[in-house]
Amino acid sequence: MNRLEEALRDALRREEAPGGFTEGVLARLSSPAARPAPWVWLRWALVTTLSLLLLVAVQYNTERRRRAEGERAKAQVLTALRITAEKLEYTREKTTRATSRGPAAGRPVNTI
Amino acid sequence: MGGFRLAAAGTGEVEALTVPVARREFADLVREHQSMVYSLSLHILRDPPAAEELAQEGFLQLHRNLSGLKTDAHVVHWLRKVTCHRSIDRIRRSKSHPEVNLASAPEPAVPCYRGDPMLSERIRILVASLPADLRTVVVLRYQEELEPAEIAEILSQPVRKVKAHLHKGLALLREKAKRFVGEVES
Repeated sequence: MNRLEEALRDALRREEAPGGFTEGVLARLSSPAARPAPWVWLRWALVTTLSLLLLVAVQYNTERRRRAEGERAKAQVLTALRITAEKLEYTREKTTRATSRGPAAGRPVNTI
Repeated sequence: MGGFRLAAAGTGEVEALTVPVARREFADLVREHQSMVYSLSLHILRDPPAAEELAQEGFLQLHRNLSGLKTDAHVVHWLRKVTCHRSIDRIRRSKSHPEVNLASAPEPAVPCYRGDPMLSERIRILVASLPADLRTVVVLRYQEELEPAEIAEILSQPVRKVKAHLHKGLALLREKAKRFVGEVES
């Protein structure tokens, strides 16, 4: 160890804290300023509540849109089914009419 | 403190270092460590009122975090860490605590010799003239007798960086001591 290091150790020795230091800490500890103010907790509660509300609102909106899309898709399917049913019915009627007239039905009558 | 003080401590002291702090009175804890915390902040800030305030705030913060600290050794480590980081933050944030200008510091009236309070005061002024990072490393090394690895842990820095800071700090101090104190130079 050189002289500079010796001098540093000598100069940087621990010093006693000022008188009443502990009492000062304890006084600050028991003072209202040392404790988190109620409004701090209130602020956190408010932030948490708002976050939850936002989350619920977003979730609700997503669900609502999903349901609306489902309803729209269902309506489209029903429309498609109705159109298909109508076409089938039309075809069936046409086929029935053609069959009831017999095999010659629809052919020109040979009068010669 | 860590290994250095543990190695130097007697059996009773070693037992005391492992007693859970939750069962101990907080006031005793403050009394036990106030000198260490106050001296660290004083030697880094070189402003007694600011050092006292910072040290007290450190203990208030300790009180809030006491449940997470299992032993006295953890408490000591935590206090050193918080005090050093708070001191460095304060130096960096505050424009009203500039580093001491050596040129404006009063010259000693009598020649210096080892053990002289005036020499110690000059050395403290020299330390205070160092940049905050180097100053903190030097204070931890020579006030708390910590090894570079322990300092690195407290400051959350690589050991290599701490060694570099220590080396640079000592080189600057040696150079300044040569100009302003003379006799301290090895």
